[in-house]
Amino acid sequence: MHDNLPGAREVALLELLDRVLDHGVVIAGDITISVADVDLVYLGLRVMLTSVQRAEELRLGRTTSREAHP
Amino acid sequence: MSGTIVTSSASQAPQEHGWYLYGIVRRDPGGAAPAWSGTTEHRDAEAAASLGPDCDDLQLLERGGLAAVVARVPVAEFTTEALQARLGDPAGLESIVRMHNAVIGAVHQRQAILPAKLGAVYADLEDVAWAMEQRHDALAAQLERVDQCDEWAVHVYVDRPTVRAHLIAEQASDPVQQQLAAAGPGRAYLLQRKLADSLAEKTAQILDDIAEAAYRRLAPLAVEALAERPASPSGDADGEVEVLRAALLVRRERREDLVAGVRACAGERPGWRCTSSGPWPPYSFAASPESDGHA
Repeated sequence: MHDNLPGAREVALLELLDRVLDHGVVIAGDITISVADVDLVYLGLRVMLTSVQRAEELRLGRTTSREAHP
Repeated sequence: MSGTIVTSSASQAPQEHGWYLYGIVRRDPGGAAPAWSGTTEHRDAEAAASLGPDCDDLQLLERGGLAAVVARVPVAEFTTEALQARLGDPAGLESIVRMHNAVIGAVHQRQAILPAKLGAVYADLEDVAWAMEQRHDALAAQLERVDQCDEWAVHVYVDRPTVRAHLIAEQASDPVQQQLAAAGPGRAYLLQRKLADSLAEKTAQILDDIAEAAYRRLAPLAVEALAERPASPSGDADGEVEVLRAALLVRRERREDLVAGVRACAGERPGWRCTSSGPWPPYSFAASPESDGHA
C-alpha cells in the first residue's frame, strides 16, 4: 500500500488517521469532542450527557429556544 | 408524527448500552442479510477476521431504502470523560480508529457505504432511524455517487535541493553570470542578490508547477477530487516538501489508470516523488458537497 520507507507502520497509521479523522457523514447529533483542535469523536443524539428533554426536542425537530433544565 | 413517538423515559436507570454507527448502506431489496452482518453463523470467515473483536453485535437497522450499520457498545466506554481519556492517549485513539476502519473497510469490500463520522454513538436506535428518514434522499443520492468507487490518497513531494541544483546549473548560462565576472564588489553584491532572489522565486514556481501538473494528470481519473497544498515550510527550508495532498474518488475500473498515473508522476522530473495509498472507503466523500459536511 505504501512505499517501503522506514517507519512504514507509522506512515500507514498517519495515513489512516488522515482518512478517518474529521471525515464522514453526520446524520444527527450535537456533541463533538475535540483534542488539540482536531474533532475526534462525534456523539449522537441522546448521548448520556444530553438531557432527555433536549433530545426529544431535537428528535421532533422543534426549534424552540426554551432551555431545558431538568 | 409527534404523537406516535414512544419515549423511553421510564428507563431512568443508567443505560448500559448505546449504538455505534459505522455508516449507511443501501437496503438490500432481496432482504437477505449481507455476509458481514448478523450472528457469527452468517458471517464468512474472512469478514469475521477483518471485523475485529466487537463485531458479534454488528446489526443492520433498515429504514426506507437505507440501512444503518450499527453495533451495540458499552456506554461506559463512550461517555465524554471516558472518550477524552482514551483519545488523549495515542494508543487509545489508534484502537478506536482501527476498529472503525476495519468494519467500514469490510463492508466497503462488499457494497457501497457512507462512512459515519468517527465515534458517532447513539443512545437509542430510534434516533438513528429518525435521522435516516429525515435525510433519506440526500443519503441515497450520496451512496449513488460513491457506488463502485474507492478513495485514494495521493501525496506529491519535491526534493528542494534537487530542484535548486538544476536551477543553479541553468543559471550558469544566465547573462547576469557574465556581468558578475566583470563586476566590482558593489555591483557583484547586488547581482548576487538578484541571482539568489530569482533562484528562490523559480524554486517556488517549480513547486507550484509540479503540484498543478500532478493534479491535472490525476484528477481526470477520478469522479471527484479534493486537493490541498500543504502549508509550505519556510522558504529556505531544505529537504523534501509535500506540495500536494489529494483525495480522489476513483471508479474501480479505473484503478490501474490511477496507479499508472501515480507512477508516471513520480518519474516525470528529478526530485519529484509521488505516493498513493488505497483503496480506502470513501471517507472524504461521505458528506455531500452541497451540505456543509452534513449530508
